[in-house]
Amino acid sequence: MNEIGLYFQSKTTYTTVPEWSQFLINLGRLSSQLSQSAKRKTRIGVALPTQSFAAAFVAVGVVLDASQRMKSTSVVDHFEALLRLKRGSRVRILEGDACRIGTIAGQEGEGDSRRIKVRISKGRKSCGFEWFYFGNCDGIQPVDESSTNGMAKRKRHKLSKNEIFASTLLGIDNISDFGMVSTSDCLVVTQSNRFEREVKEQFLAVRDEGGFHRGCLQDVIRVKEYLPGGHAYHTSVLTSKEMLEREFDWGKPATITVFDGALCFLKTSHLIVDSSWILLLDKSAPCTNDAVNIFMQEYLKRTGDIDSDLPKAPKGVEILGFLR
Amino acid sequence: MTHSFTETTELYNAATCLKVSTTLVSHDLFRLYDEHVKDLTRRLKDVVDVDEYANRLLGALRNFSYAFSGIPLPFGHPGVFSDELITDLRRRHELASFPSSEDRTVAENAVKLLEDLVLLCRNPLLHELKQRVGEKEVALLIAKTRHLKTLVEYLGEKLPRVRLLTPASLRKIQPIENLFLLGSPDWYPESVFSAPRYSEIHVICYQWKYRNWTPNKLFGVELEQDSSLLVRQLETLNRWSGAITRFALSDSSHDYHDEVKGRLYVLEGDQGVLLEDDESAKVYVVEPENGELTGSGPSVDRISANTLEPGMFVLLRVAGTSDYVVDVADELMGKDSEMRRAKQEHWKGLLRSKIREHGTDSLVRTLRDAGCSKANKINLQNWANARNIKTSIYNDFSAIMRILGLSERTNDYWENAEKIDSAHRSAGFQIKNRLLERVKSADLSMLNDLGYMEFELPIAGKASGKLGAFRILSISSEIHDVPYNKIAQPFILEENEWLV
Repeated sequence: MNEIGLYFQSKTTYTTVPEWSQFLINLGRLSSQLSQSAKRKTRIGVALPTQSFAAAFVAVGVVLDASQRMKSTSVVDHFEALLRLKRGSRVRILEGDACRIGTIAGQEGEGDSRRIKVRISKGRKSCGFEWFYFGNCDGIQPVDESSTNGMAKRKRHKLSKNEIFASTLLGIDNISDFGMVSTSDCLVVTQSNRFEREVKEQFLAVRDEGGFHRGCLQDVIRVKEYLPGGHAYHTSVLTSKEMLEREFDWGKPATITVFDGALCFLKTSHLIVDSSWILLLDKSAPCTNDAVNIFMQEYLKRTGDIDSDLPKAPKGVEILGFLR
Repeated sequence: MTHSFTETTELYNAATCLKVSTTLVSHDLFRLYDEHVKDLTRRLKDVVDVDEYANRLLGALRNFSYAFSGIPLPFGHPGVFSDELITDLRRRHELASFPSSEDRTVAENAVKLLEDLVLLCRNPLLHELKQRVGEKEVALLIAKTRHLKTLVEYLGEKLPRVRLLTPASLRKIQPIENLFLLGSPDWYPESVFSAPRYSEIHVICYQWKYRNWTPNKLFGVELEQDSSLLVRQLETLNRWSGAITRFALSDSSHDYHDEVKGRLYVLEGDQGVLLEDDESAKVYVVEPENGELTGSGPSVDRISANTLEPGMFVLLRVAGTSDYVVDVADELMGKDSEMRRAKQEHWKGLLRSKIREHGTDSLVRTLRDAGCSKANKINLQNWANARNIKTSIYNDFSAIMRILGLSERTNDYWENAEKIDSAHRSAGFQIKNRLLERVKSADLSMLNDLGYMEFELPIAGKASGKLGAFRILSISSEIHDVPYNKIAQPFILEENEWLV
């Protein structure tokens, strides 16, 4: 049963994604749900026949669940928040199915006629201003400053390259909120560039009355590090080397941290305590037993069980979950 | 090599419906031999101070059993068990003292049975394999990887359609239909059966070696007993302690001042290597084509030994001295190299003498008084060591020269050290380029499949620069005091557990 509604391209046809993909997506979803309802952090370990695509599909599940809970801030609160932005702060401006980056140029007016002035560059030598009032302020969102590196101010970019794919999978009609607002739903800790290749590969599709619409996992999970600066993101990725070498400004921790392999977990799990974990282990990889040992030491200190909440693992896959 | 989505699906399917068939082969003579060796082992196990010749005899008998119970080679193949060793067995038996005459008889019978097996030659494992190899390529998995090179040469000639694999290489291969596995399933990591890259496994094993085996769950340990986890960790750590000690102390002539902290890296082929546990200790690693880390073509990098990980391929000298950087640097210095090395050794030799005479702590104080700002115990030991070229600051070097009574030669010796340092840097650069050329022109599929490959790297015009790329299987967390001349030298790890 294709409850996710996802297909993959197999030679010349599209086929429902197999059970293992659906399990991983459901795992991500459930983990995200549990982390909202449980007062403590969840710890889930999964032993798989291969590392390939595991973290990518789990991240999809996490983001799918989190997107259902994207809060609709009241217009009043949103406008007040925009008014508090300092001059020069970067903002995203919605233009149909695309957005452009602008900078706050100031405020004008008083009381009900207050408006926010935004400077927008439209060409090499041309710039203009737009004004946002209370009535149209939902078309403007602040940009997370950590994602501004390499940002092209002038360029207008589409919210999503494969909009139908993304919106169908997310189960939403309008992708503007999802594509305009950044959230830290998921952090993936990985060793290699395999993860990047997997999330960018265009081999997936969704189906509607118009037929199949292609896309890739990145269309949904929106990894910050793989997006041009200024784009809204929902997932971050780090290598264990990056985490260990630099002083990482954690800010608000991601809701779920996915450890893509035993080595990542062994090197960095001690750094991530304020996030729920999903540990993905390749049974055939070196150091898997060492990672299991550390994970089981966490298990011995558990404060609750969640086995009954976990999705049923396909044959050949083992899963263990608990609360800490 | 990473797997595509379709290949990944095949791997999940293989994990759910793996078929295993077993062929048990008999060999009365080999079985009898094995029983004698086990008997002799039991007899000598609890004896204190076993005679050296008896020990060496037993070791050779066990190695024979270990080797031929799991590899498809004729009994007594000289690549595994040399003719000289077979001849030497009789001598060892004659010279050995045994606790009792019964023990001697058991040993004599074992030697006789071994000689009979060698005469007989035919190994049923090989015969069984030959019958299975048809027109298609056959993948063969072996647990006993010590004699990989001999196996590759032999099978390449006799059974060229056999693709040899080791357990560590299975992870990255593309899905295949069938895999032949030699020996008992419990000799192999569980992932061979729980994370297969094949739909069918055909086990070929000697009847008396076979152990019926059921895979354990990865998360299914005794969950409430953390002591069982601790015991498992300790067993892993202690497993190689004996082998390390034997290797490290095998040359008693080393200068104890020249000891460093070393860590064991277990390598493919039943080998190990001790590498220095220091940030500044660098090694070369090879990444085969389409590696996970770079995703691009083959590469050669020089990295800190502390950043090595299981699965990486480390390059080690397998012929010649362990330090090929020194050899290449000498090549670059040309006819001056001998003179320069002699100058270097002159002041270092004097420094070592001073350390022996006055002690490290006292000499450190003396050097500080003489204006050596970086004088401390560790630096002093490094400066006295041949592998450290010079101090980083001229003033410190000058203070050392003053202490050694060589003040008038300070500038000469400093310049000399700088020349050597420069030659070493150039050597490092040249080695990397030469290696990269060799790696790019080599067929690295063998490296992926077998976890070991040799590269010839001409040094000073000689073919003595033979390097081996070894897959790292595991890394010990224990640190040992190791003579520096034992660092980066691969050695055989004793493997006794095959004799069940």
